[in-house]
Amino acid sequence: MPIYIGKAITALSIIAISAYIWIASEEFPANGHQVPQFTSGMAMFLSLFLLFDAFCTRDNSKKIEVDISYASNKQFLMFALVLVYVPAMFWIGYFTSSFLLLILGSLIVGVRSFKPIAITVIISLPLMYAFFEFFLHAQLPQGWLI
Amino acid sequence: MFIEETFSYLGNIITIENFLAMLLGVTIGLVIGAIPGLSPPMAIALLIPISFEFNPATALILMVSCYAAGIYGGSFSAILLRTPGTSASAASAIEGYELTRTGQAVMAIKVSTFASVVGGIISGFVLLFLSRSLAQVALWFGPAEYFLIAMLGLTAIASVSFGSVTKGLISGLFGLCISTVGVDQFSSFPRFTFDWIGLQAGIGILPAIIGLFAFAQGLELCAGQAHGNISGLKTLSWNIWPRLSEMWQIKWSLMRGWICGLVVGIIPAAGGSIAQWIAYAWEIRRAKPGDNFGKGEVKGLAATEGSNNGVTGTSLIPMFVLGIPGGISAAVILGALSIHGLQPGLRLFKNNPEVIYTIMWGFIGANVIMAFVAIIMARTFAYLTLVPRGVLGPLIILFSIVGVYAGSNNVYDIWIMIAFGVLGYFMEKYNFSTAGVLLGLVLGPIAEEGLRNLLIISDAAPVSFIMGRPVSLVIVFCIVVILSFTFTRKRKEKAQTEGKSVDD
Repeated sequence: MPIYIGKAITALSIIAISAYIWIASEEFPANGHQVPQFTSGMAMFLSLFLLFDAFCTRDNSKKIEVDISYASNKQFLMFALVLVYVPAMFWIGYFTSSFLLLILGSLIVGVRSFKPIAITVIISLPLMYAFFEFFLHAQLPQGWLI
Repeated sequence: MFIEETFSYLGNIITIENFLAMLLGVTIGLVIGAIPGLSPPMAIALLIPISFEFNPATALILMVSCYAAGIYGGSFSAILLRTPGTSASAASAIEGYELTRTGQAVMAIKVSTFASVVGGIISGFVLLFLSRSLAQVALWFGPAEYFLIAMLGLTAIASVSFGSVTKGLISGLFGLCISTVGVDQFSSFPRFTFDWIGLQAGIGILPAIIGLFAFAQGLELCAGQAHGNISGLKTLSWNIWPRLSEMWQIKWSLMRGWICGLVVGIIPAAGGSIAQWIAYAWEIRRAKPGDNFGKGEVKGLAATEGSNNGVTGTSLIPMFVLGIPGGISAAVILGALSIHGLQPGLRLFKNNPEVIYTIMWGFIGANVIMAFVAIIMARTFAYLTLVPRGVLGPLIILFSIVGVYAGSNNVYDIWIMIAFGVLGYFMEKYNFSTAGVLLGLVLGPIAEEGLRNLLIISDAAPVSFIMGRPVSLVIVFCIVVILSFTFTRKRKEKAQTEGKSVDD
C-alpha cells in the first residue's frame, strides 16, 4: 500500500473519532460539551489539512513495508507479557511475578547472557522491596507468594 | 530595616537540626522525584509524621527542601532514560535524552544541576524579599486570565512540535479532549466513561505521563538491539561539576528559563508543568542557525531545567502570604503548616517572623545542599545508561507499573498507563507529539474551568469581558506574538529546506 494512502486513512480515522466525540458530547449538561466540541471540531478541521497534504504529495513508489520478522516485532511480545504480568501480580504476588517479568522480558528482547540479567535482578528487586515495603509502606499486590 | 531584619534570621538555619532536616528532605525528594510514578507531594506527605519530632520551622524546612529536590529529581530519569519522574520535567526528556543518546549524559546532568540549583536559589531569594509585594499579583488572576494562561500554554505546542505543526496541534487537542474524561465537576455528569469505573475519576496526569514517556520508552528499547546501551559509552566521566565557562555560553537560555519559572510560579495552579513548556517554546523561538532543537540542544535543556526549579520558590508565595496553594505540593505544605499551628497570611509574617524567614532561608540552604547531593546521586543514576538495552527496557516497564500502582493503589491506573504507553509508542513512530498530548492534558482542567467560569461571570460575552481586563490583554498579546513568531519560523525553515533541495 502506498504511504499516502496510509496518511489519508490516518486523517480519515481522526475525522471519524472527532465526529463521534462531537455527537457524544451533545448531551453533556452545564456547558460540559464546549471543550470536547471545540477540540473535536478543530481536530476535524486540521485533519483536512493532513488529508490534503497526503494527496498533494502522493507518490505511488513509496510503499508501506510490513516486516513480520521476530526482530521487528519483539516489542509486541513484550507487551503481551505485560498483559499477563498485571493480573499475575495479584495471583502470585508482586515480587515473584516481577522476577519472572525481568527474566522472561530480557530473554524475549534478545539478551542471551545471564550475567547482566542476574545483576539487574539481584540489585533492583531487593532495592525495590526495601524501598516500597519498608520506607513507603506501599501496599503492593500479594498473591500465593510475595 | 526590612533587609536587616530578614538577614538576622539567616543564622537560625545554621544548626545541626536544621542542617539534617535539609539533608534528609533533599535526599528523599531526589530519590522519590527520580522514580516515575512517585511525586513530590507524596514525598512531602510521607514526611509529615516525621516532622512532628521537630519544631515548626525545622519541620517546614524539611518539607520545602523535599519539594525543591523532588522537582529536580524528576530530571534524572527524564534526562537519562526519557522517563520523567514528575510532570514538571517532561520537557527536559526531549533534549536531555537526546544528549544522553549522543554520549553527553554527564554534560546534560551538569547543565541540569546548575540550572536547577541556581534557579532554586534565585527563586528562594525572590520568595524571601518580594513575597509580600508579589502576592498581590496572584489576586489579579480570575477565570478569564486562567483560561488565557491555558491558551498561552497551548500555543507552546505549535512551537515544541518538531516536524508537522498540524500533527502537534492535533496531539494537543487530543490531550485537551481526554482531560474532559470522567465525572464533570460542574454537573456530576459522566463524560466519555463508557460505564467503566476506572474512568469515573478521569485520567490522571501521572498514569498518562508515565505511559506516554516511560512505558513507551520501555517498548522502544525492547524493539531495538538487545546489546549495547543507550549512551553508546563504556565508561562515564567523573568530570561532573559544572564549569562556569560552560554555563556562560548558555547564559541567556538559563536566564529565560529562570524568568519564566519565577513569573509562572506566582500564578496559582500554573507551576512547573506549564512553565517548562513556555520556557522551551521561548527558547526554540530564539533558535539560531546551527542549533539542534529536538536532537540534543543544551540550550533547550537549560531553559526547561531553569524554569521548573525557578517555579519552586515563587509558587510558595501565594501559599505563605494569601493561603492559596499554587499546586498540590504547596497544598500539602499548607496542610503541614496548619498541623504545626501556623496560619498562613500576613499575620504569619507579623507574629512569627522568626519561623517564616527561617523556613525561607532553609529553602535557599536546601538548594545549595541539593547541588552536592544531586551531583553524587545523578552520577550514580547515570550508570543506568550503561545497562544493556535489552535489560533496561523490561526494567523501565517494571518501574512504570510499580510506580503507578504504588502512587495510587489503583489497578485501573495501571491499565490507563499501559494504554497511554501503547499510544505514545505509536505516536512517536508516526511523528505525532506525545508532549502535545501531555500539555493538553495538564492544561485541560485549567482551560475548561476558566472558560466555564468566564462564560458565567461575563453573561456569555467573554470577548468584551476580556477586553476590559488589562492582564488578560497582556496575555492575549503574548499569545499573538508567540503564534506569529512560530509560523514565521516554520515558514523560514520550510523555505530553507526547499532552497536546500533545489541546490542539491
